[in-house]
Amino acid sequence: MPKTITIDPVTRVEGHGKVTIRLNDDGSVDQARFHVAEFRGFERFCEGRPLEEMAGITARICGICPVSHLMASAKTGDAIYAVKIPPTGEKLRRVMNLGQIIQSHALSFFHLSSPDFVFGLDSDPKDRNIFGVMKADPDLARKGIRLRQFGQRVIEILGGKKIHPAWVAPGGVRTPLTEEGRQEIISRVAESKETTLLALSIFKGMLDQYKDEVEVFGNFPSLFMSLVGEDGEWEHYGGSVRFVDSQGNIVADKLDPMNYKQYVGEAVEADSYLKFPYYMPLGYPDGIYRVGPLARLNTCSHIGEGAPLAAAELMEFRQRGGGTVNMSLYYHYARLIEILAGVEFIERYMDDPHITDTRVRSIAGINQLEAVGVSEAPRGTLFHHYAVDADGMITKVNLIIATGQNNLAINNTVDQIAKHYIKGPEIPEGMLNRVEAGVRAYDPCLSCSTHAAGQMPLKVTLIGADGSILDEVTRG
Amino acid sequence: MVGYGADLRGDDAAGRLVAERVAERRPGVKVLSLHQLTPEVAADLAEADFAVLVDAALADLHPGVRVLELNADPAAVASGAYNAGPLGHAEDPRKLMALAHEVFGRCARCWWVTIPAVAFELGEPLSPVTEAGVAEAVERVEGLLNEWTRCSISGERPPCERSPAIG
Repeated sequence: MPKTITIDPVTRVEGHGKVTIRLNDDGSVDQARFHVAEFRGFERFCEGRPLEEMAGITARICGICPVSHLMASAKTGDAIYAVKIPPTGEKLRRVMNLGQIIQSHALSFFHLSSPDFVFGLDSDPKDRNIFGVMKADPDLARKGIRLRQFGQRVIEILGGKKIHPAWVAPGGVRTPLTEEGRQEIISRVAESKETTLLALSIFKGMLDQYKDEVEVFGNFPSLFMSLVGEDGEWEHYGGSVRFVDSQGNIVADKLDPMNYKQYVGEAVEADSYLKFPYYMPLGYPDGIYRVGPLARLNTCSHIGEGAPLAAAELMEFRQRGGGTVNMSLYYHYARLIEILAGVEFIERYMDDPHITDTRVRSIAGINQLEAVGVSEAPRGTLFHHYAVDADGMITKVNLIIATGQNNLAINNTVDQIAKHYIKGPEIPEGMLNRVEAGVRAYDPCLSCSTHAAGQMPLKVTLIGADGSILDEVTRG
Repeated sequence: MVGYGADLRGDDAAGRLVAERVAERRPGVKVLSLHQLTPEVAADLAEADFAVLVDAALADLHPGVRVLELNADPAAVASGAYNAGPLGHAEDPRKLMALAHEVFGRCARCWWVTIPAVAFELGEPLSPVTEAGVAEAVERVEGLLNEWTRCSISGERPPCERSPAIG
């Protein structure tokens, strides 16, 4: 008699998701799936609005990565305007995007995931949280908060106090960086670098304790996709799209984001509102690919000049992970390296004599009726695709978000963990913790669909084929 | 002052609208308008003497504007009681208060203002009940700020609202 275990929702994941594990008659796992039970409907909401408003509106979708939507939206606007933005405008956009990567990765690592590693996956969830970390290592907790604050502050200095600044606009940015702002950013670089190196040291020290989990938490072959620079270097804003396989072979390179529909398909499953993007030449679901920090470190050939510490960490990362890293638990490791790269590149930009130049935006009108903008969000590649009419009013929007592109990989990870830890009709102690930790490796963000939802306990339900509840466990 | 909520989700924007209106009226007050509460807000709470956090609340549960002083009960924090709020925001304000105490050694006295909310679909217009609640909340927040300022000058401990503290 098949049974179903439901984990609803995944705790400490932004927004609302749930995990369902179907069991066979003998108690072994038939299939495990990650669902998103909320309809976003945002694309249609945008239709009929002026292109100029899109950056500000799309940034308001998400409380965790608004800057990512700003970037992708503004780049789409650049293409519709057919405008080349001033060099300082692009540099400032890059600085803000790096601030975004730092703050988002710091939240993920220090606040959401570090409790798993500090206390172990079998510890009581009541202790395995940020307060437990504070008691165990208050200095590390304080530093983690300050590191995230640094990223947020970079965004604020450039874009103003609000978390959804419309500072990034088609054609560039609206205001230049002041000398006072530049000095404040510089003043916090050293501390941020030191904290990141400390976190890297601690994390690497813990990796050996989690050999079993590293092997089964989303360790499977897949493609990886991200932007890379002209020479294949690590990129987060510009460049072109590259796919590599699980061995590191380049499958496709220098792909134009404008043509994403030629290589990214979007499958739909009945049990999830989140689409399932895949690499089209391999079909669905064989075209599974991963995006985000792990993908970016796998697709790039190197981290470019200006971030020597991060470049050295990348080499060690690859040595530890065996070249191209297929283990999803290494997403955490990759996040820390990207924070370090972000801090180093911000420092480099602050030393640029032109960074406070005042020519930061080009002005133009509607010159194209359709365009695609792409940038690297903390969680992975983000596509915005707009069509407009001759007056610049939006007629069609398609967004391909990072969490969606990791949807197949998250499903594979949950499936792998469930099959490894469930060997009979009982739910093993600690299995739920591992499913949660496996999903968290991707730092999925469903904040775009967050709204009133009532209390959110963690519920595990075993349901028989006849629909009767065989067992139920509630956490929280 | 911290107003928070998803501002494209109808009435969930209530706290942020209060924040914007207070910012216009009181340029000397540090005002944050946030999609959701995140850990670094604890640092702001640690730096302040007095803080007001404003959020939307399900009208079925809380039909009127509420003004409550908050306490962060360490035992409740430790037990995970504040890990999920009725609106699903990232952090409960009491958890951030505890975070401020634990990490930074101090925390502002905090008041929590909630505004009744009924509609959370994509869109910007507020329901009439929430629109009225926002207007009332702005006045209540102004009252708290005025009282705090007066007491700061006179050296009195601000009594503020005579409502029971929750924690």
